[in-house]
Amino acid sequence: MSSKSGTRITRTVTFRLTLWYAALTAALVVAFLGIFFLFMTKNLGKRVDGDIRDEVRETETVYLSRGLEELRRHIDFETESEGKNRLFIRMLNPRGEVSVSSDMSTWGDIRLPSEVRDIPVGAEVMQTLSHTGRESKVRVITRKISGGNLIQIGYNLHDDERLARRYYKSSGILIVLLLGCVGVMGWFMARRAMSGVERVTHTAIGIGKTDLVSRVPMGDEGEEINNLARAFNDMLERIQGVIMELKEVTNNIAHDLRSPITRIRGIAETTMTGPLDMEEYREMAQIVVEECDRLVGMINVMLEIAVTEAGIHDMARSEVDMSRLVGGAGEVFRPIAEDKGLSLLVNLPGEPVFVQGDRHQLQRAISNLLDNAIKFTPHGGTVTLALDTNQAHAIIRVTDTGIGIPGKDLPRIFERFYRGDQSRSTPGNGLGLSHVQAIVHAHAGEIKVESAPGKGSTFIVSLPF
Amino acid sequence: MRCLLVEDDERTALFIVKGLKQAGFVVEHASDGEAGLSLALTESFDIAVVDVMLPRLDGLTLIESIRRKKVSFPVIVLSAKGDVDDRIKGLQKGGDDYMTKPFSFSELLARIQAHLRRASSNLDTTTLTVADLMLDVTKRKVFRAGTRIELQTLEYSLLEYLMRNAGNVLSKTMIIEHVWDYNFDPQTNVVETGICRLRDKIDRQFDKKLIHTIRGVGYVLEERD
Repeated sequence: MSSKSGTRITRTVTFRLTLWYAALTAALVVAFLGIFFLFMTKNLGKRVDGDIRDEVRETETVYLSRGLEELRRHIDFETESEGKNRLFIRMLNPRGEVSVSSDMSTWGDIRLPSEVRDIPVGAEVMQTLSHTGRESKVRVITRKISGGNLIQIGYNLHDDERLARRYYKSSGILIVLLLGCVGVMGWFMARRAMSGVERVTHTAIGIGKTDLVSRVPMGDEGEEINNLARAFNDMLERIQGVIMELKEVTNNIAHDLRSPITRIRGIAETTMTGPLDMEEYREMAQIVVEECDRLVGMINVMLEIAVTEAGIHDMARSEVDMSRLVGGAGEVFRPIAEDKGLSLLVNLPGEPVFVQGDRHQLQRAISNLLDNAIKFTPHGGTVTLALDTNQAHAIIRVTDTGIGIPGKDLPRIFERFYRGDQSRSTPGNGLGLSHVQAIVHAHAGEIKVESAPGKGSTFIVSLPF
Repeated sequence: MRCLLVEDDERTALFIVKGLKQAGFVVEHASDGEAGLSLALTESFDIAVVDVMLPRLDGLTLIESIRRKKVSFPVIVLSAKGDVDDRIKGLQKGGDDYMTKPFSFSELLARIQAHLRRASSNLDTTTLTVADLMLDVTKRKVFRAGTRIELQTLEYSLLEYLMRNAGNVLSKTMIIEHVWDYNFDPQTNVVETGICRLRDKIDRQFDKKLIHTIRGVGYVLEERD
């Protein structure tokens, strides 16, 4: 009910989706940039090392082949063309004293590496010096050449560092910008995804408040949302069905209970207002008791049906011999049929027919059907009770030669309290057949009826083994 | 005869007490489970009627407790719930009979009397006699004024049940339970038809009728003046 105002935004799916999306994207970008940066610095370092290595060899060749003067000129030329702040070249004698050098005034304190004393001729030592008194680092190569002289070349890494710093800065800005974009995009996408849910929620709230007839319309947000809507609609359908049935049953109860209560009240009232006559009072008391019994009977059957239908009742399932059970019903009702001048035929297979079920309930189902058949068959007619089997079912047929059921009543005879026009004059509460149906369904069975008005009806119950 | 009634609904208790007193019982009424239990354990009764839903201590626990203390008078359980489960539970805990509310008072009375008689008389009697009607239990034969009467199985069972409870009103429900042992709608006239056929054979040719209908309540077999 409080999708917007009541819930904190941080708890919404939209917010969480956005957050996840942004976090994952940021992680991915940072990882990529990191890898790229590593790669880049490594390459830069390699290039510097390659350059100074070439330079040191070139310088060595110049010195060895053309002598000290030529070396001096070479050094001046090289350092001037590269810039005196970016490159220095010098040569030291085996004692570590400088013999030739470019201008070192801006280079601070650069010393020889200690390990250079022990290396053989032709070997090189590479170093990166950071504490030379200058702000940027220096990459230094020291090579021992023949005669124990040392050629040392230094390369100022200032430009590379500046490049890296610039790269860091722009990467940071990029990430912040990207995060902003991704956040907005994520929010938008999440909103899109959830909009269907919100629509369904809204409609659902509306339906709950007003009626149960409306349905959540299908939208184009995607199949998932439509599935949600469909599930919700199915639920509504069932709820509506139950409520309709409840309404109908309530109406019927109200009607069917009202008439006996009216009778009870009426007889008591007229007896009370009439003259004081013991006989009449006795009569009244008897009628009241009878009517109450009828009411209680009706309520009990209604409860039985409700419980059987709901399946609350854990049926006392056991092996039931339908042969005996159907035969028993025949025995119980034979006297009534005979008194009414009907022939009651019972056709049973020779051997037992077992089904899994509740003996008590099945007895009630068969006896209700048989009682009905006898009730609606006039004098001289025949009621046939037959038990058969096919591969999977026990089939009970109750056939009568009675008044039959008109076509318009056929679909409704299993409804609670439904009584066809012709059955209204016969005693009964209109619950018998719905009780039978509830019991048969609880046993996973089926009940069918075939009828020709004026000729008779056949009720067919099939119960799975 | 002393009867213990444990029932918390005052109005129900009122009519049961009234009815039982009219029938000649001395009735002790407890309106909650604990009071009922202490009465049952300290005083002596011939029979008890106990409601299941009781404040402080429920009826089934009460029955269980008194049975554990070897108190053996018959107990009739009253319940608003009609589940088969409840019935079975009630009987398992030591109840002797079970009635569902709403029940008819005469049925309660009939059941009480049936239990009292069962407790006192022995069931092995070989012949039952009411006026000049005689039923030989072992030979399954019936005589009225010395003449043999042929009865069908069901008619015989019905008569035996009526004669064993001679003088007591038996409700349709009780008769169905004892004689038919088949679950059919009590509102069908199976019982009426059975009684009618029995009357044809037992009472028709005789001036003194023995089977009487108590309208709205049931049937009784007795000798009336």
